[in-house]
Amino acid sequence: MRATVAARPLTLGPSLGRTTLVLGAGALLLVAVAVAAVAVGTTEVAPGDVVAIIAHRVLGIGSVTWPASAETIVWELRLPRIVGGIVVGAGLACAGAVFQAVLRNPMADPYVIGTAAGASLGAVAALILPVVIGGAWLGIGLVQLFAFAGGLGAVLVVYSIARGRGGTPVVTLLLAGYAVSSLLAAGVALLMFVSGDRLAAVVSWLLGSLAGVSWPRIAIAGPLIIVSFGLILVRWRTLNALLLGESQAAHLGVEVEREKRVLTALAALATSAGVAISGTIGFVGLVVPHLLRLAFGPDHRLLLPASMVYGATLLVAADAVARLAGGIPVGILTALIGAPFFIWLLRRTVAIRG
Amino acid sequence: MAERAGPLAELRGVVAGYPGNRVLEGAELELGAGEMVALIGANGSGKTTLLRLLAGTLRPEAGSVELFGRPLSAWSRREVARRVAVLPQTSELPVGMSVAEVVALGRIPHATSRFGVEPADEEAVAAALRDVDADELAHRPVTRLSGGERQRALLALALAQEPQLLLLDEPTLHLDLAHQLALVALLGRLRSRRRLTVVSVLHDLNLATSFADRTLLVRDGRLEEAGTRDSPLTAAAAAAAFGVPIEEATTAGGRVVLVPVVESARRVEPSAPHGPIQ
Repeated sequence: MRATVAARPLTLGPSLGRTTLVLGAGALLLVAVAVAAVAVGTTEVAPGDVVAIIAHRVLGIGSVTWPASAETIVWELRLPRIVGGIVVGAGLACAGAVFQAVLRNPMADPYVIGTAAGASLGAVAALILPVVIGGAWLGIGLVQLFAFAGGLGAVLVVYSIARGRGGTPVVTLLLAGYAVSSLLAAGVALLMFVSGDRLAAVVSWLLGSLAGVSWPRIAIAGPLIIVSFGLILVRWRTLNALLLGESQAAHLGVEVEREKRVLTALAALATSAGVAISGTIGFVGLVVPHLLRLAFGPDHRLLLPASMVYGATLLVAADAVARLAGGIPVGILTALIGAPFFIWLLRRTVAIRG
Repeated sequence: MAERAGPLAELRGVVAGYPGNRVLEGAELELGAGEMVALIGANGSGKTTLLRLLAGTLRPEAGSVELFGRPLSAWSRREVARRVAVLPQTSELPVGMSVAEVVALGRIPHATSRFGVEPADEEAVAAALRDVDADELAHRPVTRLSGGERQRALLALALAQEPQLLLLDEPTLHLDLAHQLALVALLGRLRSRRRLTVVSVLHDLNLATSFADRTLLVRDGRLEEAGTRDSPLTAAAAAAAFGVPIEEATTAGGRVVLVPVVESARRVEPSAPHGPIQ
């Protein structure tokens, strides 16, 4: 027998220290970016005041040493936008991680099986509806409601198209997603064509922006995203097993078809909730999980929470830049930064693999 | 040991296959604990289908499949995965993981805690790596494995499941001769060390007969006993199974081996104006 003694202890996954480091660094970065994002703008608010105002409003501590206008800007205007960015960015990146694992495709993003197209059609329909039904309800506009329902509805349609007797093959799912998205996009284009003076509103929604985010909307979308994240996270073993392919996952005791359905539904829920309050913001859900997988490995115990933290950070930072750059929709900015970055990443991967 | 009283697996009149393609029609099998069984048969004869039935990932259209004395339908996927492990014909390995991390995936069916790694998991992974002589590979990224190392890593993953029944689908595919022999020897050692029952699809007839207590031939949707240690697979049976002429030859050491009769690709004499091929 060999007389080797294990020099290093076995590491069977991301260690506690590594997890704490990755998530802790991400959380610190997120807080720093968020405070900076609240502070900057046409009216500057000192970062110290930002922290004090938030502490005062949330915890009821400290005495008021700032002008009332600063509090309005921070609490009513900028903070909802930043919290919205956190919620949407975290939801999109986490959903992206799930879709990439379930669809076994590194190019998958949260929109790939119809959520974006469905939500867009819903939102655009609501925007140009000739009669306004009911108006705002609990601060949730018809647009948000239609977008949410459209996103979920589209995934349901895609899934039932792709579902066969023996299961739901991933390739069929992707193709069905493409076909349904194309059909829905044609619907969106048609509605835009007849939208008349509502066209500007339609375009602005489609580009994706956090400008319209308000506390009531966050109060609905936030819990939906947090709950779906929780239910996704407890399925980390399933997602890890799927890294070996569907048949091996089945050999490891995973009820593959059932879990695929559940995970798709949860990720679609998070995506639709996010898209409903922000419009379709691209690239966050594709780039963030992809990049984190390259940096920290594919173990979902770490990948899922890291996607949330870093996805949130990226979107908040991008939105602050978009706001400073004259209020361009953040969706344009994420694509402007995201696409070249992704191309660079692809080239680098190609270079490494030869 | 209570589960070992009866046969480990029992197939009775099994009809199984895929939509529009019935592969097995009336397959019968009784698999005893501790047996080493080789499955041979032509491509498409149903060897993989049989493994899928034993792994519980395919339900029969008719007939009965019993695992460990209980009908297949009475087991959950997870319960089966704690007793049956599969080394598939092809498998992807997750980029960015080390061998130990991949082997640890074999602990998924045994998971008890929400997030943590239990001491039992660490022991099982270490034992699995040790049993396939892959201690030194533990920290190696899976992307930097040779074909033989890759196969050992996947075998360790299967062993980390702590199965009683190990199913292998052409495990020697893509392995060179030395690695093929090493793998078969390793399976023999694992059987005695872990009291495993092993069923393996093998294409090399001589490898099959030297590996197995029993060689089963899958043909016409059924399973036939084609050889045992005492009366090994004959040339006639093998020839009938594959539809090619096969001869028996005796080695200098007195071992009987099966040799397919290959029509020699005779060198054609070069004719002018072509010069001799160098």
